Amino acid sequence: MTQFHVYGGFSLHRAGLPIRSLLTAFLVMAGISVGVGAVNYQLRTGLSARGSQAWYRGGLRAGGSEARPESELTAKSPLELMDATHPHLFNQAFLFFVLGHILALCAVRPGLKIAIYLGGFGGVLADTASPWLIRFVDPRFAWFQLAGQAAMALAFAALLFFPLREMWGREAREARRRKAKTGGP
Amino acid sequence: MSRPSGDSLLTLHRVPPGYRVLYTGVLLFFVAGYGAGLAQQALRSGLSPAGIAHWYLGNADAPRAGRLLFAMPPARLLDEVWRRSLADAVPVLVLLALLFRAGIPARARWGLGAWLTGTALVDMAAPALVGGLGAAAAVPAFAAQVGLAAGAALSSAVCLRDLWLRQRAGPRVRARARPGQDGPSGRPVRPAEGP
Repeated sequence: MTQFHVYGGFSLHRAGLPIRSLLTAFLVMAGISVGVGAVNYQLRTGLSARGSQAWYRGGLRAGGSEARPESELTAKSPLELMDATHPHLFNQAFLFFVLGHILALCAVRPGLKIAIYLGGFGGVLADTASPWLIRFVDPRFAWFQLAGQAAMALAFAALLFFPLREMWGREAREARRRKAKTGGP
Repeated sequence: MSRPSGDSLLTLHRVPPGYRVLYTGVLLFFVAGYGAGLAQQALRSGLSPAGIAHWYLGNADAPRAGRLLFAMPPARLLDEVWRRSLADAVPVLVLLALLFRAGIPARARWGLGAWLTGTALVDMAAPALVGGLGAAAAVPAFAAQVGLAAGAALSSAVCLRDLWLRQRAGPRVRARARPGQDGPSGRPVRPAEGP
């Protein structure tokens, strides 16, 4: 998709309806998959620092009680952690790669684009490293994980919002602006 | 999607800064991912041909095995091949796409591309090869896993060099035709040299 930069000033709002429909469908699916990932975290850790600590270091499951034996978790082994780290490094980076290419074709300030990319990759790095840090260094790194997930969520929201606005909102906005300028119908 | 003709291919050293950040992040994560794959194998049963054979064929006959592993049934082996086909193909395709935009000699580019593709194909088939052919197939499976990681690291280094170092090699030169010269442009002229 970098080739579109060879055409001066190409932007997603100039793409044809089939491409806009395809990209919209992809963005919606990506949004759903990220949402399912968040639910997955919620079920495992309750999206809380305490829940993360229990999930990786062992202890009571988030929302569990000592009366229910199934709510007791065991500490994760290095292999269990690596089984999660290995695919995460590829999957999350690839998703950012594709979404970043779509954002690159939007009329957004270059500095903001770079900030979104850096925020996203920083979030992935924190999310991938923090299970190891929580398990083997200090349980307080659970806050680092939550911060990383928040950064990642913000970056994903921006990566979905700007292309959708560019494809479906910009034309209507420009038409309204033209109409206001000319005062015509 | 339509694309312009080949001579206007946007090479890595000319991409805008946003793409530089994006590609750098992806390449670093991919290299880390391949490294994590090697570490995962080391933790499972050892990063060696024998370790790979034990993981798929079991280690009941290994007297000093720290942990007992059972042979994987054929369905599980095929499941592994299926998962690897998806997991290996995506990063290799991205690496190839970036590698073919890097400014290196064509022979090196094709060589690295063939290396990545070949090792990825063997790595994808490794569970079925070891399960079907026995422990002897663990040697090429091990070589493919290590070779793929090394090839990915080398390709990433080439791309990163092109993204960040090549552009600093000197001022960008715009080709200008000499007076009266038609057709394809000749030797590029630096602005300071003048026609």
